[in-house]
Amino acid sequence: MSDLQGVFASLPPASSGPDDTAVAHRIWLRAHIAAIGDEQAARARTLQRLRVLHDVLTVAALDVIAPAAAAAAGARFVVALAAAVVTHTIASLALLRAQ
Amino acid sequence: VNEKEFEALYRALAPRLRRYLARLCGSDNQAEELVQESFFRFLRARWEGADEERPKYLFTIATNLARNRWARRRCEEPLESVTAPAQDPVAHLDLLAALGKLSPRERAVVWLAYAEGYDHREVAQVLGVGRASVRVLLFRAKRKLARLLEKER
Repeated sequence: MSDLQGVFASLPPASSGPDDTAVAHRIWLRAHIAAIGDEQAARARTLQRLRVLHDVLTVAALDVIAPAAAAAAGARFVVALAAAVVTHTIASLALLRAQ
Repeated sequence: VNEKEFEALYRALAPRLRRYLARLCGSDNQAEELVQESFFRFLRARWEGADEERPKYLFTIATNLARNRWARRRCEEPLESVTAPAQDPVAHLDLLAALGKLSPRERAVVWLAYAEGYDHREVAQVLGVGRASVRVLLFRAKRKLARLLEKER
């Protein structure tokens, strides 16, 4: 098998091609553009998450405000509950449609 | 790596990878395509290992890409479409022809061990297999290669 080693050892060394520098530059640019795309996608995902969080907080705030306002106006418990349900439904549907 | 370092790395390693992939895939065009894709993935991975580990990492990426092609049966062609190095002595041509008759995995293990000079541990890392498997694969490949070379003489 030392024969085999000898043959492999005597193979001519791999030499770089004339276009290698240009190709390397192209790959470098391609990777950079892809990285910018990744950053934008990550930013869009964060923005989407923030938007959902904002919507959830808005609905939760309305869920508290509506029955509290009804109670402050002297409405009965059932009316306050109905106000909460109606506000919750309308706000959720509106926000879902906005997305 | 910055752009200048990357260019230097490409100029140093692309020829070695090209030669390896050409033997593995049986086509110069496929090899070129895979070399470029390997370097692209190397940059995208933002690999921050030691400088001396870079070649091994690139060989690993290249082997995985080639393996995906084997899975799609694109690398099973004989090596006719690979350009033999100029002024090759007959021994080289015999060897390269015999290599073409091995399975892609055997070609990889023989090339990494003999042409690249990697030890069993390094070959195992590149191929993603155990050291014992490399020993067995290499033993079988060498036996097959010796038989093929004897038959051709």
